[in-house]
Amino acid sequence: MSEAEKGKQAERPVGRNARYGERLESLSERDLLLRLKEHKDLRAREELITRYLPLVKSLARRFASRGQPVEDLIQVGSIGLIKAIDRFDLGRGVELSTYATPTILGEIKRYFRDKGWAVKVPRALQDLNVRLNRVIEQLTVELRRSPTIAELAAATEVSEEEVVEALESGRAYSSVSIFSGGTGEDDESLELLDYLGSEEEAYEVFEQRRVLAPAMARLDPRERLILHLRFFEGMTQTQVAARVGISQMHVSRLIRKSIENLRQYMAEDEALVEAARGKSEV
Amino acid sequence: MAAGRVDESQDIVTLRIARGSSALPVMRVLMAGMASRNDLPLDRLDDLILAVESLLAEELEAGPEFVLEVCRQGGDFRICLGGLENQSVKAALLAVDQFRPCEECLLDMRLLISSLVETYRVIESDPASFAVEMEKQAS
Repeated sequence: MSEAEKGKQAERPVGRNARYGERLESLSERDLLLRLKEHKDLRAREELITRYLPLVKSLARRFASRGQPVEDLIQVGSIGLIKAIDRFDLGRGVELSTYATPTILGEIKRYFRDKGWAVKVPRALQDLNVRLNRVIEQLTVELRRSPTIAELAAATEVSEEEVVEALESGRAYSSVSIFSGGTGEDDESLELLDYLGSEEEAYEVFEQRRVLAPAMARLDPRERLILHLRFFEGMTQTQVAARVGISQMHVSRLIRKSIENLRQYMAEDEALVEAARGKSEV
Repeated sequence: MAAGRVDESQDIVTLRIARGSSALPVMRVLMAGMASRNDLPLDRLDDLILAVESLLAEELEAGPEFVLEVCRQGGDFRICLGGLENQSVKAALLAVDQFRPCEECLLDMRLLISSLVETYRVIESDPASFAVEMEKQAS
């Protein structure tokens, strides 16, 4: 079937109120779902995604205080929405929103769980963590250096143990556990670990560095700049923060995220090399 | 799972902990506690934590327990992470090469650790495992 024929088929009326050539925006949710399910009309799918994006945003914002950019959570939630739309069964007699909400929430929660983040952090600790972020910035400016835990405890009028606990709860959001593997999505990272464990000679390590050189270039400019300043220029986190114009805590999070991305790119590059090697052997 | 020992006179804490998802958070809390006791600024503490995280990230799930020793030695904060088994990491940390890093090049373990701490050394305990001792100036 040609693209033009597919397009015409997609424009056929599929619901009682859907006239031939009617704009998708004016179609009911049910008509859009019928178009998608019966005619594989991807434009109807897109229209449904657009209509439900506000729901995704609303649900993602519930997790805004958990240390991850809301934009990332919206992206993850959108995957949940797409899954819900694709799996939705019109015959079940429930609204798409009823079905989609737990699917979107499930995807966001799974995202946190897979990353090793503590989803349930006591409210008091969350609040203290937010306060600490502000106080760290203030004290860094006042003291012209990074504050100590004792100084943070004094400034926030809590014990040093509470500061440690709150900082750890904040770190837990952005920490990456390599031990969460063995279940689907983490297989790739475990393969990388297996690979790294099999290399023993130093010269191979050096070769590995060169082969994987493009990994750094795949980071976004800000991540690359921060890694460059911290590891190639030898600046401290506090100096990097001042240079880039963000907080030291933010620099800390970005460094971890960048290193995590590098590891992922390394795994992808390694998989490509292996695939290319396999082809050449055939 | 974990067993801690505090030596008051020398202020040394040794943690032996099984590999698993809780190992890193426990190590972080220990390092933060010792940093608090020794007035280590937050960004320096974060460097040490990142160094430990990076070494752990290269380890497999199965293997011997980790041993983390944290202490203050004069003006330095010293940590020693043992029970590591990744021979590739060990080779990278021990390497003496002419490789000069550049912005486009991969951030490798040697560059990462040497940037995060003032000095480090690899301690070869047996053929299968090793430890990395790292020192960071307290101020």
